[in-house]
Amino acid sequence: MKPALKQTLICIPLAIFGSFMAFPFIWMLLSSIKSAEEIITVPITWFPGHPQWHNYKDIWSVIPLGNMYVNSLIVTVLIVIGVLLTSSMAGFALAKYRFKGREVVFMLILSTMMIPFFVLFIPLFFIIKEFGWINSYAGLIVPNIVTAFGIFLMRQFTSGIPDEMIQAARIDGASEWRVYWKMILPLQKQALAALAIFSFVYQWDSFLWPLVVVSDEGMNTLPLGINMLRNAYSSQANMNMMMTGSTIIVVPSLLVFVLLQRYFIKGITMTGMKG
Amino acid sequence: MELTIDKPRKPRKKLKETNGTAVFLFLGPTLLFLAIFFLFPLIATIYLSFHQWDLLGPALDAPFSGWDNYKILMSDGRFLKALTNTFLFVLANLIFMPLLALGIAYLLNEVKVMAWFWRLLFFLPVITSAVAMSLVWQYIFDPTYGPLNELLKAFGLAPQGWIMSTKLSLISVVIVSLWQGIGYHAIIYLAGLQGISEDYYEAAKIDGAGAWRRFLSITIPLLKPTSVFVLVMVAINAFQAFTQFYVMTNGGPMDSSNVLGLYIYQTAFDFLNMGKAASMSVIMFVLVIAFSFVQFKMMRQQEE
Repeated sequence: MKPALKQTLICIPLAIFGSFMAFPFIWMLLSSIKSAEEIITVPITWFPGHPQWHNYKDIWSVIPLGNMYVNSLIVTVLIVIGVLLTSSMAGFALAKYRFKGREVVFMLILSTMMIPFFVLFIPLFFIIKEFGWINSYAGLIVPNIVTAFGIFLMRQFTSGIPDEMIQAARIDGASEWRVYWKMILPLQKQALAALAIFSFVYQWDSFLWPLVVVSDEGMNTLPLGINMLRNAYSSQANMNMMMTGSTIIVVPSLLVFVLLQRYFIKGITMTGMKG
Repeated sequence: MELTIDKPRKPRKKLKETNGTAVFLFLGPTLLFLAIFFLFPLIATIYLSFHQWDLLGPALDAPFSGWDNYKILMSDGRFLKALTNTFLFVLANLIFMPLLALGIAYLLNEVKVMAWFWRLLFFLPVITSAVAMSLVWQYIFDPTYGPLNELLKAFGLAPQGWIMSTKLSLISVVIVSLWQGIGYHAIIYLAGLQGISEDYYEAAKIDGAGAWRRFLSITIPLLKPTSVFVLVMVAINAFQAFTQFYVMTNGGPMDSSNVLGLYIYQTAFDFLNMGKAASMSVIMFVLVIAFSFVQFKMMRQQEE
């Protein structure tokens, strides 16, 4: 088969599937600039008759988007820092020290990946309540700073660092902490970058746990806020605002992904392959 | 790892002593965390599932109720409906997700024209907010104002009730979950495909095997480890599906799209019946573990 013909045969199904993938985004964008009347016109219009660009200005006064952005940023960034630190240290310990029960500990950590969040969230809610952390950043952040996924990723990566390097540093009199901080951590950079992006996107989108912890609107993160929009506008007349809000939330993730695509794919394949 | 075996025993013992503190330093925080935020809640959930607790008073004083919570569930029509729906949802995901993901991965692996664009396109739904996209899909499925029925009409098909219909609500959410998950699993399959050496295909070509034959006899068997991973992940995720259900249908109409995760959430935080919710959590846990175990087993047997 000629290469050109083969490429055409491959592009046709990709385009068909692809338009199915793209359709919700296109519909969201088109609807986000429709007017409240146009959005409930029957039969529907595909393209906005009179683009209402001011929807993008109005939405900020409809819901406290700015406040939600700040909440989401604080929570997500702090979780990512926590995840990087705990994963990096635990991954190092599991990769480079030989101690009793190492395999068991590693298997236990891995097995937490199989535990559905629903099995934990009722008691977790009460732990957080006991700590007085309901409606607080601490409540949103702390239960998320250790992930088995991160530890697994960092262990695999750190195992690839030669033992001889560590031994050499020890012979030079470096303490264990110095070995970690000055040598291992910098070497882990590449894997940490992948993990950072991965957990950022995952946490940015987190919904169930914030839904449990937050009852005060001032503490809403973006996913909670956009859900609030749904409740605020139960009448379909304001679906345009929901689409505007959705666009505002989705676009940053799209940009981050377009820019950092390579790291994502690396993060996924690194874990996917070993399963 | 092999290096230390060759070495004399003496220095190894010395190494171990320093390791004790270091291991404690590096692993301690993580283990403490796991004890508080994983192990304890896990045990507490099992404990609660045997108790009657409605949030009043401390959990430890809640009256013991034996298997009552589980017995109540067995005659709770809503729970049985949610359980059935969960199984159907998992099954639909298990059948369609790997098939579609592998198909798309195959195409993505072969395509040379705008390769980056296609990858981007299929991966976009994975990283975009599930809540926001569920809202968009809710609008797409709307029987009166949504574009989907408009498209059906354009093709001469009858408009449907979608998320408003007891027959189609679950299927609607399946469509959204496939839309959102395919990119992720396609990338994993893509990595698997790229890990297969060209030599196999060359050898098969020389033996006269056609493209389809090569796909069946080389690609599929060599992708088995990837497939195990994908199937387990799909099942684990599908069992725990929540956001799309919560936002798009909230289980309705008439519980036609209620699933385990959603019903657990409602039982705990709307009806404040923590004991009953906990026993459902335990059931979900057992199901997830059993499913993963069976999948690993089946794959291993096939290999032999």
